[in-house]
Amino acid sequence: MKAADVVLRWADLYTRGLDPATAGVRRDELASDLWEHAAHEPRAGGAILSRAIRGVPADLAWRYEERRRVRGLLPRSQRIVSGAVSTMVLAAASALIVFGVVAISRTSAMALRGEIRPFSETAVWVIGLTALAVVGLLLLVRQRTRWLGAVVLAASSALVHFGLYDLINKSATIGAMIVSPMWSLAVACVIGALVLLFLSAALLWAPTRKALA
Amino acid sequence: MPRRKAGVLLPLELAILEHGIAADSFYGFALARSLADGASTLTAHGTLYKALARMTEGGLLTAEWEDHAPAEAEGRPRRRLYRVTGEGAKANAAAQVAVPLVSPKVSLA
Repeated sequence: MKAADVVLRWADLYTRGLDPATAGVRRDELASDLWEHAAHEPRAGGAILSRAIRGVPADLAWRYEERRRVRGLLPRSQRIVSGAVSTMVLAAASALIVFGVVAISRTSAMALRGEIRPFSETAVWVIGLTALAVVGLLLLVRQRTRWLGAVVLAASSALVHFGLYDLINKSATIGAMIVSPMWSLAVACVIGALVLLFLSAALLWAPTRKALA
Repeated sequence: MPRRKAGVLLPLELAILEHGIAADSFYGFALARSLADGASTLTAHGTLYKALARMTEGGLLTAEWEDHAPAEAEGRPRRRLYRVTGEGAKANAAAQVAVPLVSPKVSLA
């Protein structure tokens, strides 16, 4: 690979996720510089790489400043809402996964002791929905896919229903609570609140038409 | 690293302004060659273009892509041409007064 290609690959990397116009200007300007450098000095590979490597700290500082500048353009209220929604979604997703893992471990322990039949239909639902919630959490990590992660998490909210159903015979607390007349309403409210939270976040984070273009 | 005061120009920015005032318009690689002043080590890409972007945003320089025609005629990518603004020229003049590039010799005798 030529030195100029290495520099342009590096530019693609550190401009990723920035405003496309800003990133485009940097890349085109670098392409011009690299062409001029090669035309001026035919065997400039080493010098070009040296310029690129010495500039890495400045490249990263520029990227940091650009991201901060763009964030600063958002209204304060929008930044606060976005931060609060991210925190709530992460907390709810983590709680959902912990709940699924607890349900799976209880079921597994009882199945290993031979007290219940392994892989009942409910247990399979719990395993599947917990795995789906983990996928949703992983999708939240990247800015571009976090709206999809929120949609996946909304679908995996049914874990609350199946998990509780699975734990009826395995947890004395849940076994006692299920006889309450408000039980069904409470479970429906929890699931409804989770779906509402995740879908609201998905709408907030959904890519705009401009970003998709 | 301490944050520098607003309005204080770095040596690289001063050098860019001086080059820009002398050259009317300039582009990145020509500037890097001029700053190297005959030495083989050119200013790093990141350092150079970060400074140019900061100065443009600060109103000290203007930047525009050159027309397609000369670039196509020479078979090269278009250059991004910079010019020093009135504000840039003023900042350069103020910095020269504050810190003369050639310090007067002081006799210690």
